[in-house]
Amino acid sequence: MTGDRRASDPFFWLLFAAGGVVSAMLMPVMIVLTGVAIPVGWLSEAGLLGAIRHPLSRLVLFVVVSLSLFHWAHRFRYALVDLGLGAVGRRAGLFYGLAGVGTVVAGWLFVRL
Amino acid sequence: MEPAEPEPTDRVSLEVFRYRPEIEDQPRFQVYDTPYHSDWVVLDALNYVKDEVDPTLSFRWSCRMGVCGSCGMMVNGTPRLTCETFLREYHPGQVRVEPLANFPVIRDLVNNIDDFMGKLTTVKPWLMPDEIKPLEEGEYLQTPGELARYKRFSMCINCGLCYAACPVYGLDPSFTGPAALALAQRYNLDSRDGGKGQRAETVMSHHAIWECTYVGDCTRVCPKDVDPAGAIQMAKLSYATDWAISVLLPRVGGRRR
Amino acid sequence: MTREYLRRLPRNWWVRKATYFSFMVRELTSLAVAAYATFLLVLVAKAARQDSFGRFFEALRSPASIVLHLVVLALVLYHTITWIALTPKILVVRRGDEQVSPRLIAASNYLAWAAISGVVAWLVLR
Repeated sequence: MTGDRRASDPFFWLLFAAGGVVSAMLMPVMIVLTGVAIPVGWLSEAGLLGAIRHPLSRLVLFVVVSLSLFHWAHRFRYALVDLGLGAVGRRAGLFYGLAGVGTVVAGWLFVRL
Repeated sequence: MEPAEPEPTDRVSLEVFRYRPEIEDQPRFQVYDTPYHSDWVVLDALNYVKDEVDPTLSFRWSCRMGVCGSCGMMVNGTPRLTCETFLREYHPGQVRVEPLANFPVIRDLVNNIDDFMGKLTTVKPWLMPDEIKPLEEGEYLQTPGELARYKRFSMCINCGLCYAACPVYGLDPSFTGPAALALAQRYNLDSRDGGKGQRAETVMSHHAIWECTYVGDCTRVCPKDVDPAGAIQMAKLSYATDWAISVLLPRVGGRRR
Repeated sequence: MTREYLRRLPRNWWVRKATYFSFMVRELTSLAVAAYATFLLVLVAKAARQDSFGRFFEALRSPASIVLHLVVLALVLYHTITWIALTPKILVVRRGDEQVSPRLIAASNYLAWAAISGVVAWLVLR
């Protein structure tokens, strides 16, 4: 009702929206690259490694992974509420926490690479 | 001799939701056989039933031309204005008429829409100018372009069909709902208004815009093409951006529309 | 005071109407998005260890990998197409008195998507 304002609402919504844009724009081509270009022979092992290791692609991959996970967290927990599984869906920390863990892992991996 | 005009033999079967708490605990369906005319709407058939067959049937209606918002009911599972819903859409199939979904039923086809009405006032649906002009200075002026920004959202006739179509409201009646939020956006986008911040108390609430998951059926069933779903998405971006700016650049003044 | 009758939304509300169902499918594409994001994490983790990357790369050439990728691709494409189609609803742009056509906004987003995809593919495959 009136008055129950939470800063987390616009915050996670913005992350969801950013993740939606990033995953919509970048994921299809990536899936084609790892799922079709490799088996068909257009992308070699060396080519793939080179592409991953480049600092620009490390940054892009980090952004894609992190924002995509936050996009999933927000959208999926509300889907659970709509499916009648609100008891799980309302446990926001569970979902955003998982996305946060993924983000930390991604950061560590991309720095270490 | 010319043969006489044949009696209208075309009939339609109306399956109507009945709930009479003074007689029975549970609702039931009652089937009425009414005449069919190609220019009849569902409301015509209901009025025929009430006038000629069963005066105990209760339902709301008024203008019978799609502007008052009184005659909203579920027709074959979809929220419709019965004065605008032609029998020929369904004929010769059966027409099932029920009260609007997601609202309590008082009797027969009559809903209790107090919750919806109450929510409209919580968004402060009146102009709150930045500076109140004294009367002597005349009207608040507005260009056609400024009017166009919010006009669509001002067309709401408060029929409640959007609430009947919205599964989020169906699951959680504390959701502020499509019409109320579209109404808030109507004022936020009005160039004469400066009350966006004050509306935030309701609109930014956890049970307001953030609860909407953009199913979009509110827009699909709206008889006045208000597009409440679009209004809510605009509000999400608008309020989220304001919030981000207020956090990152607290000293930036001025109001964003 | 008579008792009002409350009808609950049925638990399976989302399978009973086409628009509700396609909405739910759209929302559940987020699982495919998360799945591929996790795959990318695994990919980068494997890339850090040169010795085992070869086996991982070979696995990406297996029929199972291709099928999985295509299923995920179908779902992510549904996400992309519905996302871009809804963009004009949230990005209402006005030029003076007129509103920029929603079709134009969607079309330019689809174009941007094609351009970005092309650039990424070119950068990776060359």
